[in-house]
This record gives sequence, C-alpha cells and structure tokens, in this order.
Amino acid sequence: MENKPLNHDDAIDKTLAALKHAAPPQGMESRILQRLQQQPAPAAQFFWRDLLTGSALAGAWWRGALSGAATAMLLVGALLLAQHTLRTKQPAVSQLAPTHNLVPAVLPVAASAPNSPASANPCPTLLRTARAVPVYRAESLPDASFAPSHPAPVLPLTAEERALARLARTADPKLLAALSPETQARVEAQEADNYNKFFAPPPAPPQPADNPSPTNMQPPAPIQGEQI
Amino acid sequence: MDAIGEQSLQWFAAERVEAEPDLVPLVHDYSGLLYRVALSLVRNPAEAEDVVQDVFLRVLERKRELAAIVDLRPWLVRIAWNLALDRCRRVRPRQMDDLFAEALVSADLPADQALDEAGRIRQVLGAIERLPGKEREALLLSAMDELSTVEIAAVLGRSESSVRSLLFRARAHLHQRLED
Repeated sequence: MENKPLNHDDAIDKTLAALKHAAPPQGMESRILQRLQQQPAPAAQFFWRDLLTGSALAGAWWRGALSGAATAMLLVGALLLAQHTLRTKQPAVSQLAPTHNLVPAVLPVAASAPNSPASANPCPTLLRTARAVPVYRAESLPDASFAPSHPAPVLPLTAEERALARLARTADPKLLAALSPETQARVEAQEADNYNKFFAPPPAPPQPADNPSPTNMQPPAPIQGEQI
Repeated sequence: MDAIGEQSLQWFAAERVEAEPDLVPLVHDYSGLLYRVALSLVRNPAEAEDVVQDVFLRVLERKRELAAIVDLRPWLVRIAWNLALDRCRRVRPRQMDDLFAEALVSADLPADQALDEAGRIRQVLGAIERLPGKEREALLLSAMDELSTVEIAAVLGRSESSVRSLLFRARAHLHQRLED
C-alpha cells in the first residue's frame, strides 16, 4: 500500500518520458521538404510598404500621418458620394414644384362676407394668418408622382378584426355557428317568446254562476222611486 | 523602359530573398520537437506528421513575417499546438490510446513486462485525458525537455507563475484520478 503513490509517480514520469523520447518516423523531414517544394510559392504581392522599406522614407514619422490623411480623404469622399446618391434618389419636395403663387391659408374675413354685418364694423379688416402655405396643384405635379410607386401596404387589422380572426381559429364550431345572424335572430325570438310567456298576466279564472265571490258582487241597483 | 522595369524587378527580388529565411534548416531543427508536441495531443504518428507538415506549410505562407519573429521556437510550437488541438476535435484520441501506449513501451522489455507497462501508460493517458484543459496542456508541454516554463507560458498565453501552478495542480489531480 505504501508503494502506491510512488507507483503512480513512476507511471506518470514514465508516460511523460515516453512522450518526450518519441522518435519521429523515418524520413519525415524529407517528406516535409518534398511537400514544401511542391507547394507553390505564395504570390509575390507588391506592397507600398516594400517600396518604403528600403528607401529614405522608411521610418519617417509622417508615414502614419500620410496614411491617416489618405484614409480621411477616402472617408470624406465616401460620405459625399453617399449624400449625392441620397439626394438624387429622393423624390425631392423641391421637384414637386410648389405652385407659382402662394395662396394664403385663410382669406381675410372681410373678403369672405362683404355684406355681412361685420363689414359695418368700424375696425379695419384683419387677416387671420400672416404666413402663406404653399399649395400644390395637381396639374403642376409630374405624372410620376401620382403613379403608385409600389403596391399599397396591407393595412393592419383592427382590434375587433383581430379578435374575430382569433375566434375563428380557436373557438368551438357550435359557438361559431351561433354567431350567424339567422341563428341569433332565432335565439332572440325564442328568448322574447319565453319572456312573454313567463311574464304574461295569468288568465282570468272562470266565474261560477251560483257562488258569486264577494269581490265580484255588484252594488245593488237603487230601487226606482226610493228617495234618500 | 524595359531596362528600368528589369532593374526594379531585380531590386525587389533581392529584397525578398534577403528578407525571407530558408525553410530547410527550420525543418531540420524543429520538426522533431513539433512532432513530439503534436504526438502528445493527437496520439497517432501519422496524424502528428501531418500536423508538422501543416505547420511548415503555414510557415511557408507567412514566410515574409519570419524575419520579424524574435523567438521562433514558441511561435512554431504554438502553431503546432493549435493545429493539433484542431485535429483532436475531429479525431478522438481515446480510440488510439491502446496502439499509442504499446508504441511508447520500450522495445527491449520482455513481452509480459511490456504488456504491463503498456497497461499502466494507457491508464495514465486516460487520466491525463480527463484533466481540465489547461492543466492537461501544461503537463503535456512540460514533458518536452526543449521547452522552458517561459516558453510553455508563451505557447499557452499565460504567465510563468500560472504555468507552474497549473503543473502542480495537474500532478495533484492526476494522482487523485489514478487512485480512484
């Protein structure tokens, strides 16, 4: 039992030593070299870095600045190009050519009702608006602006429509059948009938001839000639 | 014009040859170490040789960068290590443990002793396989005599003290697992 840890250590060391002394297979180096010779050399690429490596410019501090400036110029160019593309693609409001005349949104009060009592007002006529709203007249708009550019998007369902759709998918067929107008009318008629039956006044009981009830007794007719 | 072009081509060629070291001495110097590093992980001689070949193919692709690399050995071992790890994910080493253990046993031993030894090595290899990843890697790399702790740390991307601690824990865990 005491030798057990020693055995483990020994086993571990032997295994690691075996890994350490593992010899490569015969001819491995030559096979690798042969494979490397067969491998096509990587394509020689020209880098500006190579050009600068041997020249007096190598290591110059402004190499970084130069590359930074070039990158910045590229970025600015890309930005300008993107802006230009956006501008040309937009159906610009300016292209819709607001009509030549700007119409005031609200006419002067005096002009709208010349004979109204307001005209008798000694106060001067006031314009209700000071600004003019551009009005786009249909004839001035290009035809392309009226043509649908794409199919109109499907409108979203209203809450009721959604509830109905959900009901149609999930509800019991009997329940769905009960929703039809005919069935509902029939049910309502039946309910009304039942209601009338239930709350209708009870029929009057038949009056027996020989046993008059005191409630139905008529006051005796006054005898003719009797004076009070 | 032609003369100028030819001249500049010669200049570039000269620069390139100067910058790129020859691969033959690299293969002679490092193929053995790289083979052992790969073998410790993949546990199959043919697979290990493939890994070494792949390492040098990668080096060939990055021949231009060789001049800038200060310490080649950890760099090469790291490539071999990563390629071997990648190959281990595709090939299950446990299937190869039996053959590998028999191959590791010294050929001079008598048959019964060799069988016993192979069994013990197989047991240790199984226990190493079950170690936590980083401990296993540190232990296997430490088996390579050529690699110092600093170099192992460089290969694993850890500090030297961390590697020492990993080695200590790996040994302790290995003992535990072998006793179980």
